[in-house]
Amino acid sequence: MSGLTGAPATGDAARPKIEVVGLAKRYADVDAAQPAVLERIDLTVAENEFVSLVGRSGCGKTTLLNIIAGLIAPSAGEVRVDGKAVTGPGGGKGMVFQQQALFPWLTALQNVEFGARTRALSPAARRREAEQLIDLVGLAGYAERYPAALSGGMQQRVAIARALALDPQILLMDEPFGALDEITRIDMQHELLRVWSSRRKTVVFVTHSISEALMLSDRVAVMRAHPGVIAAEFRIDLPRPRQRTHAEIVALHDRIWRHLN
Amino acid sequence: MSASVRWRDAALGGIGTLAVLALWEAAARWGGASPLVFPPPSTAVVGALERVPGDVLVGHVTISLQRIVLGFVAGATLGVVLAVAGGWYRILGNLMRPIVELLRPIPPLAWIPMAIVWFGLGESSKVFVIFLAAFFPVFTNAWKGVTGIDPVLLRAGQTMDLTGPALLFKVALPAAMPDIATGLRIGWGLSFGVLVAAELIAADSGMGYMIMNARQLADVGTIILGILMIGAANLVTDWAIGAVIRRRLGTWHPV
Repeated sequence: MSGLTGAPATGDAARPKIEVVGLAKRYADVDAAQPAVLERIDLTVAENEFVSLVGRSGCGKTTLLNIIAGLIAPSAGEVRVDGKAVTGPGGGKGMVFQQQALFPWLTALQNVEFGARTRALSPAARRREAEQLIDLVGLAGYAERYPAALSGGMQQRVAIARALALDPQILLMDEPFGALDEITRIDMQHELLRVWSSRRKTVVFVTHSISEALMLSDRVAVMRAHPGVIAAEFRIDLPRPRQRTHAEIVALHDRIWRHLN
Repeated sequence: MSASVRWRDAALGGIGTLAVLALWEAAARWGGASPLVFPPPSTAVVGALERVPGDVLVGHVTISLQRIVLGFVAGATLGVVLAVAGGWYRILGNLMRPIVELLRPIPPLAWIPMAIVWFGLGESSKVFVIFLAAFFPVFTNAWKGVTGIDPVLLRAGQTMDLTGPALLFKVALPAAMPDIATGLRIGWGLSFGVLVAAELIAADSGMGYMIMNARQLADVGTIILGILMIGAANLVTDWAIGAVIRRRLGTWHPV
């Protein structure tokens, strides 16, 4: 085992795509004595880097992702994308949610086309792009189905295609496979890596599965609750696809687990 | 559902209907009641059809449907617009919710005297009562639809650069459609429910008038015919509305 891999990561040399600086989130309407949801969060994500946020339920990882997305305003600190402060959602930040966030009144293809809505494309080009993305996520033949007629795994494939249709620079994923059974989940992890290798994006991926984070990420940020903080970061310099049983993966799993407790 | 099962269900429905009619027929013929008060359906309907000419019947149905359509369209349109606006914009919602809640439990029939004072004895007062019957269920359901949208759908829309009215029209409104459709169907049914009462207001036409007029002439057969016609008109139009809704929403929503 190489000495450097698996060591807690420090700052990144590559150009930062996302910078989270001194971020905190408190809810004013709850008891002031309650610990903050998020406190002193600093995180830098390099361009095209895949970073996972791992932690127990209630550690604030989804809140952090929503703040990066611009869906929630922080109480203090700020999020910068390409050096510019994030003030709201949209603007090239694609998001994949855990639950069924597809529009049920649109077919799979129409959902993906909807994602491409604001791009400067002719209707025909938009349709072609949506069809290509449907193919890319392995759903050729299911384009005309409504979400209710798709399995959970297929719905999340459409959701990924819809987020990619924005042609975003950043892909934010909020436990996208959390509601899937384990077999489908492992399939989807492979699918995501395949899609990511053909459409490179900067990814922030929230999960409560340590092994999922280890299979996918360049870097794992481990979060702890009350108040929500980033307790440690781990770099994983292993080629993909990775083996769950690889000695480094097993060792890192162990170390992350200890940081969670 | 397979075709054979649908046929079987339809056949059972027909048998049930015929059984009730047969029981009525038997009770009227052999139960000892006076045919002037409780006639068998066969003689009642046949007799009424002989007394009331076909074009007069068609005229009654047409004017009643016209009143219902006018009142319903006005009530449903206002109901959807106000509920969507109030459900979406909090300030508007807070402004309108108490007054709507105050007026909602009042039976539309209680408004009849007011309607006569305001609108006189013409068509407007009848349409107004039907308008009230349609407005409240449409409003309540559309409100429920707009305020009950899964927030993740709205958040998804926001991440795709939708804000303000665009988010309302492209996400909230389609998501609320199933509830709006439910409100429209209930509102249509209640519009029929107040028809007879609305046509008590100095009317000389319509199915409600036909029934009330027949009572004064002690023509039980025509009363029965009129009642059955209201039921049939409601059944057919409700089925048609249901078919349109299924066509529009059935592809993605169980209706």
